[in-house]
Amino acid sequence: MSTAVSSCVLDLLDDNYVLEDYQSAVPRWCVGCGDHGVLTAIQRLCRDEKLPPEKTVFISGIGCSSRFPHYMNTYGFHGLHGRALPVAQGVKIRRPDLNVFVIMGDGDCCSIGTAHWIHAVRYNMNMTAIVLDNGIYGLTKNQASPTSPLGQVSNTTPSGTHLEPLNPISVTLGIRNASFVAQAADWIPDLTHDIIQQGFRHKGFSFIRVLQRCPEFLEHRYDEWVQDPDRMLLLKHENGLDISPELGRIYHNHEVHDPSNRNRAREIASGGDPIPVGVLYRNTELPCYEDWQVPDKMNTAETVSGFLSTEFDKFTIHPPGATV
Amino acid sequence: MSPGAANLAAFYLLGDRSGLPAEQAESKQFRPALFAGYRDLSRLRYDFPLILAAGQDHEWVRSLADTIDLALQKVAPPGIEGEETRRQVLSLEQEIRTLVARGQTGTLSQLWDKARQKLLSEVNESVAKGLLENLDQIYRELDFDGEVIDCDARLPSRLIRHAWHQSQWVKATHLHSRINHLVHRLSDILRADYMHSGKARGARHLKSSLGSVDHTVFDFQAMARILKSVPVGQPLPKKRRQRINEAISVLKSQGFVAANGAGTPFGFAYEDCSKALAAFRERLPEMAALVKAISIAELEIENRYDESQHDSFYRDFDEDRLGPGDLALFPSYLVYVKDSDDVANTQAILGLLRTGLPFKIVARVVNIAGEVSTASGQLSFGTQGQQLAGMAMGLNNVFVMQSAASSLYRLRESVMPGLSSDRPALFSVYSGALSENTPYLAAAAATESRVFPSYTYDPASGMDLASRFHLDGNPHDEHDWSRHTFQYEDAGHNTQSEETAFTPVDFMASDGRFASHFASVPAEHWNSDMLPVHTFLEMDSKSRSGKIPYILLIDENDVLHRAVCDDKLINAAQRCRERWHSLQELGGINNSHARRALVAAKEAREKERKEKERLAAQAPAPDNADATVAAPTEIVATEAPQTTPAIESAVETSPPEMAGASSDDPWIETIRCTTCNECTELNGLMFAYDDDQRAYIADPDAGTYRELVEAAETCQVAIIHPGKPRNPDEPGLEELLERAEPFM
Repeated sequence: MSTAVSSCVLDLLDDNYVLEDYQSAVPRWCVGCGDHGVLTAIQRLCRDEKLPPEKTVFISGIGCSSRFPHYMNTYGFHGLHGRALPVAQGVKIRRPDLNVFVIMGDGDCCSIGTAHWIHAVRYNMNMTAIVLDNGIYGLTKNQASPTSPLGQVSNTTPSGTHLEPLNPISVTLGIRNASFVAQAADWIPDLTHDIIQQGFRHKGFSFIRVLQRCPEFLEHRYDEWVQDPDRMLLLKHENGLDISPELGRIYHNHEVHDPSNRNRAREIASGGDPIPVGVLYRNTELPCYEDWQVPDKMNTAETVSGFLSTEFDKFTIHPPGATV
Repeated sequence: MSPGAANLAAFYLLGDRSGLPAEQAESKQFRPALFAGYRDLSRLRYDFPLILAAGQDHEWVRSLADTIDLALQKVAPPGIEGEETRRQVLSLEQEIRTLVARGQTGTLSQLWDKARQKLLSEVNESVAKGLLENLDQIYRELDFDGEVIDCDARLPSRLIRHAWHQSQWVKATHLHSRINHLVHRLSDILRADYMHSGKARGARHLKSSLGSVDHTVFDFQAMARILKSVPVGQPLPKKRRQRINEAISVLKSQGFVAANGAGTPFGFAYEDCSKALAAFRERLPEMAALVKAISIAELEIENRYDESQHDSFYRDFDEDRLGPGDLALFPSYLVYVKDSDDVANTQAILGLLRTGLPFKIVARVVNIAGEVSTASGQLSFGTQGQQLAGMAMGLNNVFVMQSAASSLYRLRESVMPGLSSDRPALFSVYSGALSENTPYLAAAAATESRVFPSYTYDPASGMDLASRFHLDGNPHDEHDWSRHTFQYEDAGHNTQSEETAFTPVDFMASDGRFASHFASVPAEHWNSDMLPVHTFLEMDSKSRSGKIPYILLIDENDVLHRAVCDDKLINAAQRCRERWHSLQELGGINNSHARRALVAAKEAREKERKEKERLAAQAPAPDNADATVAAPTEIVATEAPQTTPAIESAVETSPPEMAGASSDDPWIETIRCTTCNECTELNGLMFAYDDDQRAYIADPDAGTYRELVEAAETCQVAIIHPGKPRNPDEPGLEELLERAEPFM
């Protein structure tokens, strides 16, 4: 919020950022890793949305994808395994003016961090949470994750996984307070950019699952879909994504899906082939938790001191004869 | 002497009373017949008195009756079970009404207490206990308290002032907390700078910041040495520090708003337009200084103040730079004009509204009918009170509400938007204060008779008239007059019923100033040529010939009379009706443009229908029924091939990146690049990234064909197409071409 004068003055400032403004260290991800494309898509998003780097923060847990904040020239917090969301919520509630992005892996979000994930959806705080789902624990060298395909042989499942993979999109759509749910695929970077942009512009908790290729431990997981564009289902709608003509010429398989239709979103989410990408669900009516929690007093030194004095006074023992 | 028809006609047409009996009416207190049921308003349960909310709540006013009803709903069960409680509480409510009518003031709690004591004193002890319990139970359920006010002369001023305070409270609290926030954040910048200073990192400061308990444990000198060895960047530039200090100083010393909407050095309520405008102008420099300080603070906090760009702008910043958005930050000005009939006051009000500044004017209209005399050169008798609001509406950007005091409670939802908006607002209110009747009755009669209709014009609520103009608060607004069924007892003690309307002539009959324009007619002289005023008004001048208009009046003994009125009042009533018709049209009722459009549309449709019938009559009968069915199918069949190729050709058009697909040059489907670095690591000169970090072939000659083929093979998403070899002498071409084949 700013006065009319400040707005006019700020409009005159040159706010045009370039991609380099958001680039930091050279990524250490494997050559061919899907994370590279997502990193670029998000850096493009920051540039396109003119996000001041000093007003933007990326928070991650542990995993390959959680190295993300290191590669963004913004504020960052490389946290504990599964705990990216609570940290992000803390940041948001104290600094609602910041643009908060949460980067998690599938193990991070869907295994050890599941409780935080469910409750973050419920709290609906205004942030963009992106799950880079490669279906495997890559950083620790090949262990099955909750989203590993059935039969996946790994160091922890030498005879193959016996459990059906968890579908993060279906799960999120099942949570009552879900306000934005989308799915992207790292091998369609333009679409990934557009989906994350929609999530970023949505006021509330935006949950975006990005299907991501791991060239090291699940090398051929998505080969069939990468090589055959017709096995991707692009969701479009006037209130959702607008598919560019260039993409439309490569990916012919479209469906007009109204993001307010939750039941259809659940049906689409449960389908595995063709893989749906786009905005599955959006509800702009839900309140954000931080809006309920706006303090009525500023946390100044005087306020804190006054509060402590009041509390301590409750335990004061007045000797006989003393005046209060 | 009894008046004959000719004498009555002479009175009606010429105002000649010579043929009438010596006016016995003057000795009687005549009132409009419809006033019969409203002699003692304190016995009636209606919108008044009102309670003005004591706190800062969304609901700023509520009627006493509504408050009691809500409490009763919670406590007294429906049916016979809750009957006793209901009766007791309604008695108490009645007592409060009586107290207020007698001029008692106070909050609902205070009046409740007085009324309760009075009731208790009137019953014996055995009843008193139950009564006390029931009343206290209801009292606990009352969720609304505040000052109780009746519909008296001061109502418009008190009610709107209260609403204005509520709206200002929201605005002032918002601005005050914003200023506090800015001061706090600016202080943080200065504090952070201080913490980086040598003094703050010195042993003495460190010691004082720790408290007294652990002084012996710490070596503050050592700690200071360590802290001072850490580089902390440059101190705040002197110019910036000065700028921040100046902004803090202005923010702290402002006199426009205080915490919790409390009193401020500046007042914002006036009873004189010129004084309000003078105060506004006098404060302009301080407003500009505050806006400048807020703006600089906002930039400084965001670290966006650029001295090269902003210094000159803020150096020249003065009141000329303030815009509507900036003025909206500040409290609005309330001006209460006691007598808006005064020409000088009218001019001053319009002058103030014309500025477009947020002045909220409450104009009390006293003489709504105006002067019947033409001596002043005016022929606006009957509609004079409506002129101010009409003129203000002509300014287009002014919020306008015209209402009698009696309707203000019903229009309360419309009052607040006018006070909260950043535009000027006019509340033209007839209080009924100088009437011989009670203010409420006079005000309600003014609305009923169309002499002072209620309406709201809110330019902020939309771009078209349908959104902006509302004719709420008028009874039977689709008709010319409000209609009523009037019951009375005839000489034979039989109940009679008559449909009547309340017209401006009835309203004027309630005002003693116009008594000379009425002549009462004894019942024995009533004849069929006498017509009720509303019937008379519906007739054209030709049909009126020989007819005399009358209204029904009652005297102090509630005896019914007919009174003939003169032509001047009929003319005034006609003027009121014309004005009412204009308002109806603005409000979308009987709109002449819409009616004309409807007639035109009906005529066009009729013409079209006839033309179709004519063509059908001329056309030969079809050979068989199948032909008519087949025709549309043929049309579809012929159209289909035309549309399909158009779509296909659009799909087949190649994007610019794919232009090389048919040539021998190498190319990349850049749009699908996932920035995986495979190709750029293979040959950073041949492959490069564009502004969006997507790969393209920067220089096909910067490497070998082998590298192109290897890049195509290793590309994770297979978007590199190597094309044909550019150097025919490159070794191993045959094998490379074979490998490149899948990527062609």
